[in-house]
Amino acid sequence: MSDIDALDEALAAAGEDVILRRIVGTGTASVNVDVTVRASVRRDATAMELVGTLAQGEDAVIISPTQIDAAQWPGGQPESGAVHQPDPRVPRINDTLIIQGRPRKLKMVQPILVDGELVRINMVAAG
Amino acid sequence: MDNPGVYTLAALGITTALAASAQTPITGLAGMSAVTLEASLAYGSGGSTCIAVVQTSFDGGTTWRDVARFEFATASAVKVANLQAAGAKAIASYSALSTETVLDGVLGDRLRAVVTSTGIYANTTLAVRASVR
Repeated sequence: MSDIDALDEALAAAGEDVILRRIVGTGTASVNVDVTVRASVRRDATAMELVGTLAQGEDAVIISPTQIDAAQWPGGQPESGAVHQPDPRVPRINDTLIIQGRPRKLKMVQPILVDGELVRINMVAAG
Repeated sequence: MDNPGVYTLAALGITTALAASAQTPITGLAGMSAVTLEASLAYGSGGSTCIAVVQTSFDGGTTWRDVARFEFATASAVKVANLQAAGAKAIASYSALSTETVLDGVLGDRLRAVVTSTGIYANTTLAVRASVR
Protein backbone atom coordinates (compact mmCIF):
# COMPACT_ATOMS: atom_id res chain seq x y z
CA MET A 1 0.00 0.00 0.00
CA SER A 2 1.39 3.39 -0.94
CA ASP A 3 1.84 6.23 1.52
CA ILE A 4 -1.06 8.09 -0.06
CA ASP A 5 -3.33 5.05 0.03
CA ALA A 6 -2.52 4.48 3.68
CA LEU A 7 -3.29 8.09 4.54
CA ASP A 8 -6.50 8.03 2.49
CA GLU A 9 -7.61 4.91 4.29
CA ALA A 10 -6.96 6.47 7.67
CA LEU A 11 -8.73 9.71 6.71
CA ALA A 12 -11.70 7.83 5.28
CA ALA A 13 -12.09 6.03 8.58
CA ALA A 14 -11.40 8.82 11.02
CA GLY A 15 -11.39 12.13 9.15
CA GLU A 16 -13.98 14.67 8.16
CA ASP A 17 -14.84 16.54 5.01
CA VAL A 18 -13.64 20.12 4.84
CA ILE A 19 -13.64 22.61 1.99
CA LEU A 20 -10.35 23.98 0.72
CA ARG A 21 -10.97 27.36 -0.88
CA ARG A 22 -8.80 29.64 -2.97
CA ILE A 23 -10.32 33.11 -3.18
CA VAL A 24 -9.43 35.09 -6.29
CA GLY A 25 -10.14 38.80 -6.30
CA THR A 26 -11.74 40.81 -3.53
CA GLY A 27 -15.16 41.96 -2.42
CA THR A 28 -17.97 41.62 -4.92
CA ALA A 29 -15.46 40.67 -7.61
CA SER A 30 -14.15 37.66 -5.70
CA VAL A 31 -14.40 34.12 -7.05
CA ASN A 32 -14.14 30.95 -4.96
CA VAL A 33 -12.34 27.89 -6.26
CA ASP A 34 -13.35 25.07 -3.93
CA VAL A 35 -12.55 21.43 -3.44
CA THR A 36 -13.90 19.13 -0.74
CA VAL A 37 -11.07 17.22 0.88
CA ARG A 38 -10.97 14.55 3.55
CA ALA A 39 -9.00 15.84 6.50
CA SER A 40 -7.79 15.06 9.96
CA VAL A 41 -8.57 18.08 12.10
CA ARG A 42 -7.28 18.53 15.62
CA ARG A 43 -9.50 21.29 16.75
CA ASP A 44 -8.73 24.09 19.21
CA ALA A 45 -5.31 22.99 20.37
CA THR A 46 -5.10 22.57 24.12
CA ALA A 47 -2.42 23.84 26.49
CA MET A 48 -0.57 20.55 26.04
CA GLU A 49 -0.05 21.44 22.40
CA LEU A 50 1.26 24.95 22.99
CA VAL A 51 4.63 24.02 21.63
CA GLY A 52 6.31 24.97 18.42
CA THR A 53 4.13 27.05 16.18
CA LEU A 54 0.77 25.67 17.25
CA ALA A 55 -1.04 28.06 19.56
CA GLN A 56 -4.31 27.77 21.39
CA GLY A 57 -7.33 28.24 19.14
CA GLU A 58 -5.59 26.93 16.05
CA ASP A 59 -6.48 23.76 14.16
CA ALA A 60 -3.87 21.28 13.02
CA VAL A 61 -5.04 19.78 9.73
CA ILE A 62 -3.70 16.91 7.64
CA ILE A 63 -4.88 16.12 4.12
CA SER A 64 -3.71 13.92 1.28
CA PRO A 65 -3.48 15.17 -2.30
CA THR A 66 -6.07 12.70 -3.57
CA GLN A 67 -9.13 14.94 -3.77
CA ILE A 68 -7.02 17.87 -4.95
CA ASP A 69 -5.67 15.74 -7.79
CA ALA A 70 -9.11 14.46 -8.74
CA ALA A 71 -10.56 17.96 -8.94
CA GLN A 72 -7.37 19.36 -10.44
CA TRP A 73 -7.67 22.14 -7.89
CA PRO A 74 -7.06 25.08 -8.08
CA GLY A 75 -7.84 24.81 -11.77
CA GLY A 76 -6.16 26.58 -14.63
CA GLN A 77 -3.25 28.80 -13.61
CA PRO A 78 -1.36 31.26 -15.78
CA GLU A 79 1.48 29.42 -17.50
CA SER A 80 4.59 31.30 -16.49
CA GLY A 81 7.02 29.35 -18.60
CA ALA A 82 9.45 29.19 -15.71
CA VAL A 83 11.53 26.02 -15.49
CA HIS A 84 11.00 25.68 -11.77
CA GLN A 85 7.57 26.40 -10.38
CA PRO A 86 6.00 25.64 -7.03
CA ASP A 87 3.51 22.78 -7.04
CA PRO A 88 0.13 24.49 -7.65
CA ARG A 89 -1.66 21.69 -5.80
CA VAL A 90 -0.17 22.77 -2.50
CA PRO A 91 -2.42 25.21 -0.62
CA ARG A 92 -1.00 28.62 0.18
CA ILE A 93 -0.89 30.78 3.24
CA ASN A 94 -4.21 32.69 3.42
CA ASP A 95 -6.16 30.06 1.49
CA THR A 96 -9.29 29.17 3.42
CA LEU A 97 -10.39 25.93 5.03
CA ILE A 98 -14.05 25.67 5.88
CA ILE A 99 -14.19 23.32 8.84
CA GLN A 100 -17.67 22.39 10.04
CA GLY A 101 -19.00 25.50 8.35
CA ARG A 102 -16.44 27.86 9.86
CA PRO A 103 -13.96 29.55 7.54
CA ARG A 104 -10.38 29.40 8.82
CA LYS A 105 -7.31 30.95 7.21
CA LEU A 106 -4.21 28.89 6.62
CA LYS A 107 -1.27 30.13 8.67
CA MET A 108 1.16 27.37 7.83
CA VAL A 109 1.38 24.83 5.02
CA GLN A 110 3.89 21.98 5.03
CA PRO A 111 3.92 19.65 2.02
CA ILE A 112 5.45 16.24 2.68
CA LEU A 113 7.18 14.51 -0.21
CA VAL A 114 8.43 10.94 -0.30
CA ASP A 115 10.74 10.05 -3.16
CA GLY A 116 9.66 13.24 -4.92
CA GLU A 117 5.95 12.51 -4.67
CA LEU A 118 3.57 14.72 -2.71
CA VAL A 119 1.99 12.34 -0.20
CA ARG A 120 0.66 14.53 2.58
CA ILE A 121 0.00 18.15 3.45
CA ASN A 122 0.18 19.39 7.04
CA MET A 123 -1.47 22.72 7.77
CA VAL A 124 -2.34 25.06 10.59
CA ALA A 125 -5.61 26.96 10.30
CA ALA A 126 -6.84 29.80 12.46
CA GLY A 127 -9.20 32.72 12.54
CA MET B 1 -15.91 9.05 -19.34
CA ASP B 2 -13.66 8.53 -16.35
CA ASN B 3 -13.56 11.96 -14.77
CA PRO B 4 -16.83 13.85 -15.10
CA GLY B 5 -17.22 16.91 -12.96
CA VAL B 6 -16.96 20.66 -12.77
CA TYR B 7 -13.51 22.07 -13.35
CA THR B 8 -12.16 25.59 -13.14
CA LEU B 9 -10.41 26.49 -16.37
CA ALA B 10 -9.55 30.00 -15.20
CA ALA B 11 -10.03 32.15 -12.12
CA LEU B 12 -7.94 35.27 -12.19
CA GLY B 13 -7.93 38.91 -11.39
CA ILE B 14 -7.80 41.06 -14.50
CA THR B 15 -5.56 44.11 -14.18
CA THR B 16 -2.97 45.10 -16.78
CA ALA B 17 -3.42 43.92 -20.36
CA LEU B 18 -2.96 40.21 -21.03
CA ALA B 19 -1.67 38.94 -24.35
CA ALA B 20 -3.19 35.49 -24.87
CA SER B 21 -2.41 34.27 -21.37
CA ALA B 22 -2.80 30.51 -21.51
CA GLN B 23 -3.95 28.84 -18.31
CA THR B 24 -2.71 25.40 -17.36
CA PRO B 25 -5.00 22.75 -18.82
CA ILE B 26 -7.48 20.40 -17.23
CA THR B 27 -6.46 16.96 -18.41
CA GLY B 28 -7.78 13.42 -18.13
CA LEU B 29 -11.01 14.18 -19.94
CA ALA B 30 -10.88 11.39 -22.48
CA GLY B 31 -14.33 10.28 -23.44
CA MET B 32 -16.11 13.52 -22.64
CA SER B 33 -19.34 13.59 -24.55
CA ALA B 34 -20.38 17.11 -23.68
CA VAL B 35 -19.22 20.16 -21.78
CA THR B 36 -21.18 23.09 -20.47
CA LEU B 37 -19.10 26.21 -20.13
CA GLU B 38 -19.72 29.19 -17.90
CA ALA B 39 -17.64 32.33 -18.20
CA SER B 40 -18.24 35.19 -15.82
CA LEU B 41 -16.70 38.60 -15.52
CA ALA B 42 -17.13 40.40 -12.21
CA TYR B 43 -16.40 43.95 -13.29
CA GLY B 44 -14.97 46.70 -11.16
CA SER B 45 -13.69 49.58 -13.22
CA GLY B 46 -11.43 50.55 -16.07
CA GLY B 47 -10.34 48.22 -18.81
CA SER B 48 -11.61 47.83 -22.34
CA THR B 49 -12.03 44.23 -23.51
CA CYS B 50 -11.59 40.81 -21.96
CA ILE B 51 -11.78 37.67 -24.07
CA ALA B 52 -11.72 34.09 -22.84
CA VAL B 53 -11.17 31.37 -25.42
CA VAL B 54 -11.68 27.75 -24.40
CA GLN B 55 -9.54 25.29 -26.30
CA THR B 56 -9.17 21.54 -26.61
CA SER B 57 -6.32 19.38 -27.85
CA PHE B 58 -5.96 16.06 -29.68
CA ASP B 59 -2.21 15.64 -29.33
CA GLY B 60 -1.53 15.83 -25.65
CA GLY B 61 -1.46 19.60 -25.44
CA THR B 62 1.02 20.35 -28.22
CA THR B 63 -1.61 21.91 -30.46
CA TRP B 64 -4.78 23.60 -29.25
CA ARG B 65 -8.05 24.20 -31.08
CA ASP B 66 -10.59 26.89 -30.17
CA VAL B 67 -14.01 25.56 -29.24
CA ALA B 68 -15.63 28.57 -27.56
CA ARG B 69 -14.95 32.28 -27.38
CA PHE B 70 -16.48 34.55 -24.72
CA GLU B 71 -16.20 38.30 -25.02
CA PHE B 72 -16.59 40.86 -22.27
CA ALA B 73 -16.12 44.59 -22.07
CA THR B 74 -16.85 46.94 -19.17
CA ALA B 75 -19.77 45.36 -17.41
CA SER B 76 -20.32 42.30 -15.29
CA ALA B 77 -21.78 39.42 -17.25
CA VAL B 78 -22.25 35.68 -17.12
CA LYS B 79 -22.20 33.76 -20.39
CA VAL B 80 -22.84 30.08 -21.02
CA ALA B 81 -22.45 27.63 -23.85
CA ASN B 82 -22.81 23.90 -24.35
CA LEU B 83 -20.71 21.70 -26.61
CA GLN B 84 -21.37 18.13 -27.61
CA ALA B 85 -19.17 15.44 -29.09
CA ALA B 86 -22.00 13.24 -30.28
CA GLY B 87 -23.44 13.46 -33.75
CA ALA B 88 -21.83 13.62 -37.13
CA LYS B 89 -19.95 16.73 -38.10
CA ALA B 90 -19.25 17.59 -41.71
CA ILE B 91 -15.65 18.05 -42.75
CA ALA B 92 -14.58 21.67 -42.40
CA SER B 93 -11.31 23.53 -42.26
CA TYR B 94 -10.33 24.67 -38.80
CA SER B 95 -9.79 28.30 -38.06
CA ALA B 96 -9.39 30.06 -34.75
CA LEU B 97 -12.52 31.75 -33.44
CA SER B 98 -12.44 35.49 -34.14
CA THR B 99 -15.88 36.36 -32.82
CA GLU B 100 -18.01 35.26 -29.89
CA THR B 101 -19.15 31.83 -30.99
CA VAL B 102 -18.54 28.09 -30.52
CA LEU B 103 -17.09 25.30 -32.59
CA ASP B 104 -19.37 22.41 -31.68
CA GLY B 105 -18.65 18.73 -32.03
CA VAL B 106 -14.90 19.03 -31.45
CA LEU B 107 -13.74 17.72 -28.07
CA GLY B 108 -10.37 16.16 -27.29
CA ASP B 109 -9.15 14.86 -23.95
CA ARG B 110 -8.30 18.16 -22.28
CA LEU B 111 -9.44 21.76 -22.02
CA ARG B 112 -7.80 25.04 -21.24
CA ALA B 113 -8.65 28.74 -21.26
CA VAL B 114 -6.68 31.50 -22.92
CA VAL B 115 -7.33 35.02 -21.67
CA THR B 116 -6.69 38.23 -23.56
CA SER B 117 -7.48 41.67 -22.23
CA THR B 118 -6.90 45.27 -23.22
CA GLY B 119 -6.78 48.33 -21.06
CA ILE B 120 -6.21 48.35 -17.34
CA TYR B 121 -8.97 46.84 -15.24
CA ALA B 122 -9.31 47.27 -11.51
CA ASN B 123 -11.17 45.10 -9.03
CA THR B 124 -12.23 42.77 -11.84
CA THR B 125 -12.21 38.98 -11.89
CA LEU B 126 -12.75 36.46 -14.67
CA ALA B 127 -13.83 32.88 -14.01
CA VAL B 128 -14.30 30.12 -16.57
CA ARG B 129 -15.71 26.79 -15.46
CA ALA B 130 -16.51 23.63 -17.33
CA SER B 131 -19.01 20.96 -16.40
CA VAL B 132 -17.68 17.91 -18.21
CA ARG B 133 -19.64 14.72 -18.78
